[in-house]
Amino acid sequence: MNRYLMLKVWLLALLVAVPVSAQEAQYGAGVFFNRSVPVLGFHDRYSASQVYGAVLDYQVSSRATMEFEYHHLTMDDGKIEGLAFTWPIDKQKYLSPDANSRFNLNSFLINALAYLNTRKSSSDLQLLPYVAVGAGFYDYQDRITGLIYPGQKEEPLNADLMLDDREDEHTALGANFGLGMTVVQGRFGLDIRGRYHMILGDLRPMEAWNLPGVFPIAMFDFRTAFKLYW
Amino acid sequence: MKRLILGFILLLLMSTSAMATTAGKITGVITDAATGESLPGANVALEGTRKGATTDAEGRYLILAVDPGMYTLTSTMVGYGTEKKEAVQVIVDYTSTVNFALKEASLELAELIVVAERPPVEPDKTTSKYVVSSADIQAVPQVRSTSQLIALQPGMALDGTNRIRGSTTRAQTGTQVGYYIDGIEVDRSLLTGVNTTAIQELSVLTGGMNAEFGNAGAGIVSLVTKEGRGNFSGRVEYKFTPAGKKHWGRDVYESPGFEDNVQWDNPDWVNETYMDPGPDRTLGTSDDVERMAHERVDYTDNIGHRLEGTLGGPLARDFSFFASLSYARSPARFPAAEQVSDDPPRMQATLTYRPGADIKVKALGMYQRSDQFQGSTRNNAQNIFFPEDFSASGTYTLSRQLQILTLTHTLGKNTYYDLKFFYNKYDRDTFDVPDATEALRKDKAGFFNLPTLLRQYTEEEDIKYGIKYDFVSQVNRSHLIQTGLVLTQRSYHRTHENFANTKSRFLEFVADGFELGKNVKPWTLNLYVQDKIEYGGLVANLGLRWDYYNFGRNGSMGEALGKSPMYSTFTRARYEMDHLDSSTPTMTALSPRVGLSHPITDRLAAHYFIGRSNVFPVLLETHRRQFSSEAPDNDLNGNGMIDETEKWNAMEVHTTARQPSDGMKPQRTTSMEIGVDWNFVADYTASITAHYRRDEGLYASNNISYWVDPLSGQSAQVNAIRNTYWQTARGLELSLKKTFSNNFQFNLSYNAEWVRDPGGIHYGKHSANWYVLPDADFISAGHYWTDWEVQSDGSERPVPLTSEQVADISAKAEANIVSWTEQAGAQGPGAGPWQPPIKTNENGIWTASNGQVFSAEPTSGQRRNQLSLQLYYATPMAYGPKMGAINPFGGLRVSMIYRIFSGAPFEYVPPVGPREFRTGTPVMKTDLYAAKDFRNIGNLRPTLFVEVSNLFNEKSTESRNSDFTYVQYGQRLPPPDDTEYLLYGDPNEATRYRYQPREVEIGLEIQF
Repeated sequence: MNRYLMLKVWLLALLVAVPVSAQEAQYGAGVFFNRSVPVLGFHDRYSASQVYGAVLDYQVSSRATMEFEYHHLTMDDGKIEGLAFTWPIDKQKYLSPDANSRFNLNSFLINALAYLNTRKSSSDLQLLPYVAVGAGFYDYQDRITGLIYPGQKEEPLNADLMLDDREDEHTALGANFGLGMTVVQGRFGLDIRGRYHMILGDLRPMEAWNLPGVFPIAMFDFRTAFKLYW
Repeated sequence: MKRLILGFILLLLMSTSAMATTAGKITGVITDAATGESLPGANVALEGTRKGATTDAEGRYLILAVDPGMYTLTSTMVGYGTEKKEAVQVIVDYTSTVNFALKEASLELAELIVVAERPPVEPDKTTSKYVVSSADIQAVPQVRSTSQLIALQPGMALDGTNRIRGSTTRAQTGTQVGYYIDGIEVDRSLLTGVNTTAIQELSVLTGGMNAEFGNAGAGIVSLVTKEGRGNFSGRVEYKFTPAGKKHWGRDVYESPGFEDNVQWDNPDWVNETYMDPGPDRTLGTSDDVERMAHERVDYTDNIGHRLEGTLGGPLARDFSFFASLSYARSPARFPAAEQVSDDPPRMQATLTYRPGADIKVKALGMYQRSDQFQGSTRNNAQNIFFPEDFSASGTYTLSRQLQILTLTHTLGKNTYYDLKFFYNKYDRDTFDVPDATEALRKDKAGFFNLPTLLRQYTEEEDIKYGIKYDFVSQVNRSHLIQTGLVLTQRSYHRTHENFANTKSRFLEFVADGFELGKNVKPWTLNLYVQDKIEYGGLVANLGLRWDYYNFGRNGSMGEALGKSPMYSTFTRARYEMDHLDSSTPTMTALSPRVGLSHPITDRLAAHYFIGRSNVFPVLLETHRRQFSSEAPDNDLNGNGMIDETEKWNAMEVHTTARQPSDGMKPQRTTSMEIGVDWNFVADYTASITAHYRRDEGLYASNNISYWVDPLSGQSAQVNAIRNTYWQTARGLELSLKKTFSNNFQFNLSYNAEWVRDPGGIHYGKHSANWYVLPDADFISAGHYWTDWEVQSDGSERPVPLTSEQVADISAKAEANIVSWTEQAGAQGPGAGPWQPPIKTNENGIWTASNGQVFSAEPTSGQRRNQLSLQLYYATPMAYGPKMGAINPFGGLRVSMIYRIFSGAPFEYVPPVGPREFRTGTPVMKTDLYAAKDFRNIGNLRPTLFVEVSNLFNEKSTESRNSDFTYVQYGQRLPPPDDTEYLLYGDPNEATRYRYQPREVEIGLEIQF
């Protein structure tokens, strides 16, 4: 096992040690970290969260790159956990103390990056601003548990009578677009991007907690990726 | 009106030109490549056909009457090299412009071959028309039914319902979508039964329609079938469906919906038996069989097969043929009378005779047939333990056939005509129908049903035959005149009996008079003229259509007469024909249309359309009669038996019988749209269309009509069909399309619609009350009587009123009219005022309304969104690295279809505030097809493929336990304080979701 690990380290070192111009590097791979900020109706459900993922690049031309991206996002502490409902029987507000809301997202995207200037055949430091457009499938699960059932008819309210665990689980088509800049030097690249995701998926309404249904699921993310080219 | 008809016919006969609905044209200019000067006398030939043309003095050529498809055009001229243009696509009604620039032979001897391309935006698209060629169909191979193919086109409802841009689907409104095969109007079921591999071109007109199309408010689906060409070609495909559970939730024998009624741990319940009547279907006879009352079957252990093949090619000199056949055995999703059923085989064949360049004769034959069970059979509910093959009411056979014989005759280089003779028959017959309905039998626990017989059948025949004539002429460079007529004779009858229990009897029929099984014979005549003007890049389509409908029936349309004392039973209603004089009802409609295409650049074009169309009533709604009874027939002559003349004499006009009303007019639709197509980069074309449609006078049967009896003063009601409501639909259609290049193509379409529909879910008042009043003339003319005398054969004859009775009842009748007239204008019990009576029937029938009017404006509307994405990726055979003799990445084809659409709209009453419209959870589904083509073995090219339906196993929810708890708590299932739910679980776990779980099928295709 250690032998394989050593081999990988050696290969990586060899790859990094060999100088290469940006133009020659047709392929790239990297990892990234995001800050995702829900917007529109999704903003009422969750707060900003961290995302991480991996990306593979294929340089189509000096002005365009095709990118294959996987990313994973988890949002804990959904806002519904702190929301109360008004019970129509006694008009009082009730909070569900055991409420838990969690949003998981895994996506596979294909993005096209159109550089605003030409990627030169040079190992010098280059700043490459670009426009990114992409689409793909977003697999998400929105799970809410521990909500007291507000549809009870008899007083007093039974705080142990819970709604069934509620889960919206879909694999939805989505698109993203944004602006970014890649800083390239030799084999290394630093990629910074801001973009908007629109996922054609829904979260069902929970209007007793003043949460209307969400469609589409939308968010901004701000991404920093570290890439290696060969 | 007669003058108008005559004028139209004269126009047809005198016209110097004509163009059929199933062909396009090719035109262009041939120039000298070096000088740019036009070349008169150059020849152009359409390879594989006998068609061609010679350029005129301006170097221009024209080839008319070209069937849709891909062609190679060859241009030759003495002294010049030959130039070929391959992949020239011809689309029905469109112009394909193909120019040639010939090089002098001394400069260029080799043949020059160029791949032609259609312009990135269609320059003569004057309305929203989405064309699917046979090549496009190959890019979505997982779409195996024509109905699914249609649903994928922008503007069509993606949920598979028969709607265009939010059009209504109510039965009474009739065909809002018109379906055409090879230019002949057919039923939707016949068109959707065509194998997709037999389609040469499918076009969907979702906006306005050309004048050649009519009797549809929302749009048109038109299909042109394939023909054989000069070479043999064919295809055979086999698909295998593995066994397995094909629904969500548990095995249905453990379904929570059965609660404690399934007792698999109770030996008495498990071993319970009952007597089955056996093949003679009569208990107490020698063939009775003892059966287990609760026997479960493994309904998941069944495999399926599907086989489809096409073959086309030359048959003899001047003859070619094309044939397509599909056959499938499909495993049932739930327990059923047949766990593996034979899907109806679909067959169609064309035979084409081309004796010369100017004449083509095409014969099309289609046949579809299915045998199905009638009445109750084994299912996933309380009939779950029925034996296999049992049906309560026998079996029925449906068959559909269509024959079209088309003669296309080119009269000159600018003129041709199409003459079509067509015969279209639908037939339904039921076999082994029991004579009576048995009392419902249950198991000992009284929950599950045991097989019982039900008298129920439908016998129906619908024949349409006629002639269609289209005449097309390129009058000059700017005007393509098209005119034509369709004369359709229909012959129809229907008899439907349903004895729901041992007492109830229901009879519905359409027949000439009261002779069940005798066909009524309505007929239609449609005339149209259209001018396609091409001038300076601008294309205009001006059209005018005139439709005539003869109901082919005599007798009054006066609704509620069946509730009068004269005609209240089946045997008495026969006299309506004898006593009421009424000419055959007819309808006419005039429909003008204008479409404009305005190319702004060669990559940007705009189009505009405004037009009117009309829809006639559905025959069943205007001709059917419905009777019912809870009592047996009466032996009026006391001979101890029910004579033929006494049959059904206890059957009274059904309370909710739908009757057509006098004064029905065609439903009218006005539609308009404006759209832009923009080829913004390379192969990418975006389109956006804004549309508006208003349907007026849509038929509905929720009008109550009362017979106001002049003698008794009492009233009795039936439902009447009237021009009742309207709806509007506005929307946007967006599409983004990439044609095939760099190994892939895609097609993305998005529709947003806002539909306002007063007859929808909760608008205004659904019913309007109408009163039918006879006047004094009606009484004195002998149309009214109250007494009958029985004849020796059991029949009844009306007893005429005495002169004193006539005088008395006439006075009362007249007083009724006066009374209703006097109260006109006063506030009625509904939202509007009392309406004055108007005479609606020449026999002396007046009709008035009490002011129960429909709301003028709807209070809300539905919003629907839908999006579909079709992706296609294909690599050439030599693509990628080679491993031995194989290119593993070559010959790959991947097709993916993604769909998402709004859930069904529903009405929601919030805790506070007015009612609202909401839409259900979006429904989504992804299907995948992946294939690997292998190198040819001789002339055979094999392909292995895998199909995955519902790739992501989407559980798109269709139903909710309650709309309120869904909106308030996001609760789709029963609430947590529902004791039965807590005890057993979700009773609808197997059926709550729109699509079944992911299914993987594999197959083999061989092309040659």
